[in-house]
Amino acid sequence: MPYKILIVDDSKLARMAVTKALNVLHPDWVRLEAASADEALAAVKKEHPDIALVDFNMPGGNGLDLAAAFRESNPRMPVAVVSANRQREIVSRARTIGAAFLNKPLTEEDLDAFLKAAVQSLTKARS
Amino acid sequence: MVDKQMQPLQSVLDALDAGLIVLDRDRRIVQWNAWMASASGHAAADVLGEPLAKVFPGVVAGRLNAAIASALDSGVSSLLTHALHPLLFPLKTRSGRRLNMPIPTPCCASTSTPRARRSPR
Amino acid sequence: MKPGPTLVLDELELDALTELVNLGISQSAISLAEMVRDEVTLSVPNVALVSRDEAIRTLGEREAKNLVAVHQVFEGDITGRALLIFPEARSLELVRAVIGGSLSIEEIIELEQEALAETGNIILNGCLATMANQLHRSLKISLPEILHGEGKEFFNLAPPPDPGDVVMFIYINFAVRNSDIQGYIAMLLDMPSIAALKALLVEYISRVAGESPA
Repeated sequence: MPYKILIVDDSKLARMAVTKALNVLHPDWVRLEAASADEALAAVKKEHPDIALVDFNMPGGNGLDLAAAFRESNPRMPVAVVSANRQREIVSRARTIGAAFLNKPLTEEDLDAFLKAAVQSLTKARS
Repeated sequence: MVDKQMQPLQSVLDALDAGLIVLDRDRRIVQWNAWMASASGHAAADVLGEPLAKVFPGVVAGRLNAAIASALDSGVSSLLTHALHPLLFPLKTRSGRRLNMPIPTPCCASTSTPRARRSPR
Repeated sequence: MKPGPTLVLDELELDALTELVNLGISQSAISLAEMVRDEVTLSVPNVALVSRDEAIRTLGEREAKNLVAVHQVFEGDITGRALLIFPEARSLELVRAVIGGSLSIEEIIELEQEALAETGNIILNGCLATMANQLHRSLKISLPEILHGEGKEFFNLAPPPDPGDVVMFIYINFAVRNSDIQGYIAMLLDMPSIAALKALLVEYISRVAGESPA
């Protein structure tokens, strides 16, 4: 079943990298892109994605705040925070808000693992 | 254990007023100059071929470990200072006092076997 | 009008460079955090390619004259100098934050040069080595050296740089243990190195995003 996935990252290259992995893993899924927190919030309101990937390092506010906002407004939407900065404090803050943590550079394997878990929790919620 | 061709070089290394340790890819000691022997209490013959971690247990951890790894893997030179790592190595001066010195970990990569060279001064 | 250095890289290449800097700085933060055993925040608000004059001017406008820099040179397919620069007035604060514990002002001053050199070494190495790894190249990187002075001295170190030299100017925010310091990393590259960097970025983009940039 094709899901709708929102990719939030101010770097166009980073968004392209995720899209490349999605082309391999889930070519049928709908991709939404946002380059800022504001764009992301608007996209969630308008397009209702099923899953969100949020870059930690964004100008004008960190991705963790955005991820926390998503977890509160859309608790059924699995969220992953993506960052090269895998310090213990950041990883645990992601976990605390109920988001997954994915290391950058993002590998296909890590993305696949997260998406499998996300789909599982989405199908469970809908059944 | 030092072959005849190396002897002139060895006397120069032994004359240095600085400690010189050279490690191979497996972090085994391949050079241990006279300064190191005196300051550590270990003769060269006892440590050549041994892993550094065995000669200084508990020392090769954290930042030093990372520094050696980056010298070996990436050609990166690191500096470990007394300011941030007091009493890193158990070394003594000739009068028996504890030694505290900055430790540069320069990398010297050759075409065949990259090595890490560490010289406490 | 002579094209400025920013036109040497197109938008996507500059984006890729910024991503690489972010990856590198994240690694620096991790290494530093491991050493100080506390959380370290290193963020990069901006990356720009500018001329040396512009870099000197920017530093002159934004900061007081007295600056301190940790300087390292690197060699390989890309050759140049890397400088971690921040105001001298903040250097003691930085050292206190990194060393931690309660030391007297005299003790901090005694340890300042060494602590700065090692901290700068960790930050620059994290950045340079990660960027080189991602670009599938290796660099030989020197040990750190502390410099005191103004921007124009840092950007005119001997041998005299060529007029076409480019500065990759990186604004950084550095926070550790209640201390928050703004600084800069400047990488000075000559024209052949900038050309080599451009080619490597094109390769990197193709590898990462799976297509040749338009």
